[in-house]
Amino acid sequence: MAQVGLWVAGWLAAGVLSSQVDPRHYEGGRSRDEQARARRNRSALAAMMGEFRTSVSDMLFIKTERYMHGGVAYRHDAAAPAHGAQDLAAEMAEEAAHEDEHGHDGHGEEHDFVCGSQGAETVVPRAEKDFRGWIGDLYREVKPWRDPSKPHLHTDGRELLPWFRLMTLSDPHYVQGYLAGGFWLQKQEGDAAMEFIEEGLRNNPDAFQLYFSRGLLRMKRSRAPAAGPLEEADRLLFSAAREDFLRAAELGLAQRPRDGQEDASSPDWRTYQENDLQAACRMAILLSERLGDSRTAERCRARFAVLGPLFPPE
Amino acid sequence: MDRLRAIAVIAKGVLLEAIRRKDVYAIVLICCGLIGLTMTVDFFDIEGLTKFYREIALKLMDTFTAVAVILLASRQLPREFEQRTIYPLLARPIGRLTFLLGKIAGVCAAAGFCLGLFMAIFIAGITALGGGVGWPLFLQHVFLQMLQMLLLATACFVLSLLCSRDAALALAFLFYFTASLFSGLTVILYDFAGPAGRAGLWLLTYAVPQLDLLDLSEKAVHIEIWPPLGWGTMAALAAYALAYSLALLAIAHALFRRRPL
Repeated sequence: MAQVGLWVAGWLAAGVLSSQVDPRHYEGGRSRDEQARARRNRSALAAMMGEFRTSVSDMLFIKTERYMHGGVAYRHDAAAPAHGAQDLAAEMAEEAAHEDEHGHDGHGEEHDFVCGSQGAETVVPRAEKDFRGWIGDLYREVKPWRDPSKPHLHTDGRELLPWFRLMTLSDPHYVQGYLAGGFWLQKQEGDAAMEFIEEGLRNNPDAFQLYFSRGLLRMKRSRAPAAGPLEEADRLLFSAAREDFLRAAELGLAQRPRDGQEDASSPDWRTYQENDLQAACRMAILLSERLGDSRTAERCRARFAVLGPLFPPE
Repeated sequence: MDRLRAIAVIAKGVLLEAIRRKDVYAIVLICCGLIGLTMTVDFFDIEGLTKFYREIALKLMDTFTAVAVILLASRQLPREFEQRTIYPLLARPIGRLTFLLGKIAGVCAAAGFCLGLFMAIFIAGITALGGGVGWPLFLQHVFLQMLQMLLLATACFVLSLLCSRDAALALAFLFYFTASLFSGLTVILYDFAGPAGRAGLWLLTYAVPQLDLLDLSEKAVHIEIWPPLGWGTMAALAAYALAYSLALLAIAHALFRRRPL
C-alpha cells in the first residue's frame, strides 16, 4: 500500500515539476547571439536540458563548417558566425543589387563570401607541426585535409540545408542557424527561405538580424526597377520590407553596446552584427526615399546618426 | 592444409552461431530501419540532398558493424569457458593458435555478413535518391572498415582474456567510440604537455592502434571532391592494420596459452 502511495506521489510530483520545465528559457550555449541570451534562465532543469540542446546545435554548426569546406576540419573560432550568417547585409543586399543590374535573370555569378575560418589551422595539423610522424602522414591522406595556407575549398551550400534544419529543431533559439539556413535557402526555388526565417522570428522575436533577413527576402521578390514609379504590388512589398528594416534597426540599436566595437567589453557584439545593423539602417532610409516618404527618411537619418556616417560622402 | 581446414570449420561455427542467434538480426534490422528512416526525412521539399543520407547511412553501417563485432568477439572465449565447450574442442588435435584464428576469422566473416547487408541497403538507398555511389572511395571505405573490424576483433579477444566478459565489453565499446576523440586529443594535448607528457603521448600514439585511421567515411561523403586513395596509402594502411592485429593476436595467444583449462 505504501509503495502504491509512493508511486502516486511520484507521478504527481513529476507532473508538477514537468509543468515548470520550459527548455526554451535556457539561454546558454556558445553559439548564441546576444539577443538570444536576453532573457534569464528560469529553472535548473530547463538549463540542463537546454545545455544538451545547444551542445547538439553547436556540434551541427561545426558539421556545417566542415561540409562547407568539403569535409576539411579547421580549428573553429567560437566567435565566427556560421557560413551565410556573416555580413548577411553585404551578401544579400549586394546580391539584390547585382540582380537589379542584370534584370533579375537569376543566373548571376554566385558570390564567394568571406570565409570565417580563413587562415585557421586544420584539426589534423600540417606535417611540420605533427609529432606523429608517418601516422600523421597517413591521417593527412585518409582524412579530408588541405594545407591551411592554401585558399579554402567552398562547396555548394545546398547540402548544408538538412543540418540547418536539424540545428534549429534542436535549438529554436539558434539565430545564426536561421540566418545561414535562410541565406542558402533563398538560392533555392519556392518560399522555403521566407517560411524558415518566419519560423525563426516566431522563436526569436528579438533577433534583429532575422527582421533584416526577412526584409531582404521581401525585396528579392520585387521586380521593380531601380528608379521610376512603383507598381502597387512592389509598393506593398517595399513597405513591408521597410517595416522589417525599421524594426531590425530599432532592435539592433537597443542591443548594440555604446561604441558598437567588437572587444572584450562587449563580447556578444560582433563586427558582422554591427555591419548588419548599419545595413538595416541604410536600407530603411533608402526604401523610405524610394517610397517617396522623405519625412521618414529624414527621421531615420537623424535617429541612426549614432552609428556614424552610413553612406559614403557624395 | 589441416590447419586451414580447422580454422575454416571453427570460423563457420562462429558465423552460423552469429546468424542463428537473434542479436545480429536485431542489429541489422535496427540499422536498416534507421537508414530507411533517414531516407524518408524531407528537408524543405528539396530533392537530391544525398550527402546527409550518405553521412548518416555510412556512420550507422560502420557503428552497427562494430557493435556486432564487439558483442560477438568479446563473448567467444568467456562463453566457451563458462559452458565448458572448449574442452571437447581442444581435445581434438587443434592448437590454441588455430582455435583463436578460427574464432577471429568467424567474427570477421560475421562482420562481412553485416557490412554486406548494409552495403546493399546503402546502395539501393543512394540510387533511389538519385545520388552516385562513388564506387572507388566507397569500396576503399569498405575495405578499410573490414581491416578496422579485424583490429577491433583481435583487441576484443585480448580484452576478454584479460578481464571478465562485461569488463571486456565495456572497454571494447570505450575503445571504439573514443577512437576519433583519442586521435584529436593527443594532437591538442601535445602542444601543452611537458617533455614527459610528450613522450607519453608519442608512446600512446604508437602503442594504441588508431582505429580512426581506418575510417574513410569523411572522404566517402564528399565524393565529388576527393579522389580515391593511392595504392601506396592503401598498402600502408593495410600493413598498419595487419601489423597491429598480429601483435594483438600474439598477445591473445600468449594469454590463452597461459590460461589453465
